[in-house]
Amino acid sequence: MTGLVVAVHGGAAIAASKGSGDDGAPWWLTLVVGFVALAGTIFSAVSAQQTTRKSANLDRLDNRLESMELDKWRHREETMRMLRWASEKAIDPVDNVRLLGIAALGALGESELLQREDQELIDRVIDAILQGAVAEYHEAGGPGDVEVVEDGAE
Amino acid sequence: MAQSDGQSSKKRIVVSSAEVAAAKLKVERAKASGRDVDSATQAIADAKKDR
Repeated sequence: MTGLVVAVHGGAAIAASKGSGDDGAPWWLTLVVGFVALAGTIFSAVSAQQTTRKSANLDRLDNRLESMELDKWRHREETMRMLRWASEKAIDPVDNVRLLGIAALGALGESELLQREDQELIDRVIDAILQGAVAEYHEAGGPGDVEVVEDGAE
Repeated sequence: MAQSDGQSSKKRIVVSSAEVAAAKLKVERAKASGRDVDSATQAIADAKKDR
């Protein structure tokens, strides 16, 4: 008896024809089975190769993302250090130093690395600088009653 | 720190360059984020140089 065994393993179809062609199996069936088996083996090999390549690409992508994250984290650390420095300068008793701090705060405020809480810190520092002048403005009567001038003495 | 000078009919407040710079920055940031600015901050930002 001719037995036809088709084994499917990992996407590959392995077909084998048992017995000889003399005991009734048509020659074309043997050919088709052989072709299917060959195609299955090739498909399996190509698939395995693609999986390996994809896996390697994913590893490379992972490494690159990790590296980018690390870079971003380092930049943010540096930005936070500068934010602290600028905040300290912005409340310095010396006017020129305060100007430097305020300019640095303005530049940092445009950084994409700052998060919302960091932006609020900049707002709070600005409010702290303006607190006295704003209070005095309102005490003096507010709009219409007050003329604000910048100290011309350098 | 701001200083007052009440010689004219309007009360005069003298502010430092740093206060003007801070007010300008606050106005700029408020405009960028679509927030309103209080009149005091706007007045300080618009302060003319004292002669």
